[in-house]
Amino acid sequence: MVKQYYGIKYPFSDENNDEIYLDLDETYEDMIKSKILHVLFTPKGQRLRNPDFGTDLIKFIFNPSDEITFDSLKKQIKVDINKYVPNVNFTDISIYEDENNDNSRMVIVHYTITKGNKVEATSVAVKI
Amino acid sequence: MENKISYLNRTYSEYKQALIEYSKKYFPDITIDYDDASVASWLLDINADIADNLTYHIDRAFQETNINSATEPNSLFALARNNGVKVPGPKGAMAEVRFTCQLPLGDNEPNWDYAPVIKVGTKVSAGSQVFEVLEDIDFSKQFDVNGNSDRTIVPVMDSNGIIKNYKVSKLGVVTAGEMRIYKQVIYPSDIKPFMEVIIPVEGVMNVESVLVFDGTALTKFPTYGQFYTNSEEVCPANGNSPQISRFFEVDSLAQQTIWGVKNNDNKPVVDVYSYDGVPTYSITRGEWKNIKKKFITEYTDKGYMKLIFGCGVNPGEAINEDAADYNKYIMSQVIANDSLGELPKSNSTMYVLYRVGGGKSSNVAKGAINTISLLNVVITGSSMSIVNGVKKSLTVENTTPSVSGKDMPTPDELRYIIKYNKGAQERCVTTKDYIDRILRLPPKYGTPFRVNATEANNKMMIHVLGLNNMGKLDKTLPTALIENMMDYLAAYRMINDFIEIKSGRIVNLSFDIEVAIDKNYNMADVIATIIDVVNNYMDINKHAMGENIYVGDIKKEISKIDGVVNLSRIRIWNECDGGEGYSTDQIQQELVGNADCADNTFRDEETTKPMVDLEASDDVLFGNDDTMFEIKFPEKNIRVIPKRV
Repeated sequence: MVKQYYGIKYPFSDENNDEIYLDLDETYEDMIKSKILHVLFTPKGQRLRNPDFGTDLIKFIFNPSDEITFDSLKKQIKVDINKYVPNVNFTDISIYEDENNDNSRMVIVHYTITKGNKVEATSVAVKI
Repeated sequence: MENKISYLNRTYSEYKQALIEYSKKYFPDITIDYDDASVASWLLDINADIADNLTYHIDRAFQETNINSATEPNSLFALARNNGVKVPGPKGAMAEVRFTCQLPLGDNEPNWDYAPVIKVGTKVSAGSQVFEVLEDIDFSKQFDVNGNSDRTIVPVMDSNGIIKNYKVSKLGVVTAGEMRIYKQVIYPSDIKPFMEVIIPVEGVMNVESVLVFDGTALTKFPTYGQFYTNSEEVCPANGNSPQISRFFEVDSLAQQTIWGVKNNDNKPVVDVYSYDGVPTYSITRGEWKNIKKKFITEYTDKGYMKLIFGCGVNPGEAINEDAADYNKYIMSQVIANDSLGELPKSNSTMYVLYRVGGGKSSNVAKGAINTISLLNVVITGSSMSIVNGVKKSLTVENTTPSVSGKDMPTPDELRYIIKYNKGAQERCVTTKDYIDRILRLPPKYGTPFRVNATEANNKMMIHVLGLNNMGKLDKTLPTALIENMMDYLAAYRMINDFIEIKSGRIVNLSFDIEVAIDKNYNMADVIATIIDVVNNYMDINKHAMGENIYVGDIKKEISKIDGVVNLSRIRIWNECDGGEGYSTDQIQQELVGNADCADNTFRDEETTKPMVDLEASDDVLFGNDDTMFEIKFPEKNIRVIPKRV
């Protein structure tokens, strides 16, 4: 029986042992994760024919690292993810300093996935 | 959906939808959804966008192939070329000018030894607009090359009434623009099939001639005489090297012959014809000549003129000398095939004589051309002081506004030129084609004054009429003219057309006009005006051969004249007795009574001339295909019989 995949994995990788050029999402959760990252890492205006797609994270890059910035960042991400990734509710975002690298941050996005009448809490961690 | 691309999709959304459907059908296991956040959708977006862009460019490219929607100049130029249209350049305005000079006394007339010949290239100007004389203007001749009288002589008297000298005026035609010469050295690397030479000047109207001299270190420019040499090989001024070749412009490089002057012992064959022993006009014999040195011209999309030469090369340059003779011959059949024209030699110098200027701004008012800016004149008289005096006395003035100056066609104009050029053919198929072609014979080869062509008994009948020294119709057909016409038409006629050239018929007429004139008007003035009106209406220059004359129009014109109270009757007589220079040709319509017309109530002398039955013809003089009507002597052929009221 042919295996059913859920989409192309994002970020792109080719670590599979199948004869497939790009890695594919094997579960529904993987697919949601790929979609969230796709939205997060696409600056608005970059997507052809869809200038609203993505987030404006790049605009926060030189903002002060304080509560005000984090609040507006969270609000922005919540709106964008809700808009482009259905069945997902963004709950929170946590940011930690990378102990090994002063210039890097670990971002953990917390969200819930609605599958039928089940709601499952999960998160995705991204190093930026 | 089949496993193929739909060419009906035109937009981004159509392409994207088609790609999604395609992926769902043929790759259902890869992904389950195609919403905006999915990576598959992102990749399909890129494909759909590329397809949409390509469609846009296909549309643009297709648009440029259609004459109605093309906007790019290079597309329109290409369309013109494909449709056989030569894109016209700017046109120089033309005007009639009167040159005037004062000639010394001769034997009861001006001393014609000092009559100037204003040569081609003489420049006159109206402000910054330069005009050039296109044909020599010879003050010693009463007529121009077309046989029209265009010289006036007015004696200039001193206070005692004694003639001091003569003021002589002669008409000519000038055209806006000026001649220039472009020089280009041709190196071996320049020589390639269909070599192109672009004249780096804007506003070039046409190329007059191209000369190619052997050698690359030339300092002297060629003379006009060399440029207008009537053969491909030009004799150098001093009779020795360098070798000079002339290249001729043709309509297409496949054209193998051009119409030119027939030479005998290197001299043009010219037949001179006389009236009453006085040489009045000449006809140059022409012939079709084979040419290999030829080029075509066209404009680039930036408006520069480009010369394109053929593809035949000098065998010595292209074929290896080491080859065997027979092999050289075989190779020459292919390599040096010069049927599309020879290329200029390498290590030579090309001189292009071209005309530049013109355009809409060259249309100037009457009298605006009043300066001779460059005088190229020949006066044969021996006294230098008189020669200088004649030169100094030369003045110029345009007697008509200069008209027909035009810029290069706009894209819209070009579209119309291309559309409506389709029917034009360089061959004679219909009778109108023959008329048009004969009238395009250059004047020096004796273009007839009027020509008409008809089909009769499966033959093409061509009737021609000329003018005599008085500017009247003449049936005489000089042999040189007929030979020129036959030779010229031979290259254009249909292969199974049989052509017969004959003189046309001249029907001389006289008018009796019976009018009532208001007693408050001067009778002589009114009569003179009536004669002028009738003479003007019947002017042969205003009618074509075979054209009907509507007497009703003449009546209308006469009735409009101030002082004419009533036009009672017009009677028209056919002056056909052959006396006094009248033609013997009879009008081909119903006559009153018989040829011995009895009704001569209003004639002073007994006459045997037939009178046209205008009532039977409903006031129309029917012109046969070979006939022209003419009032030979207006002063006595238009008689007004007045009544005072």
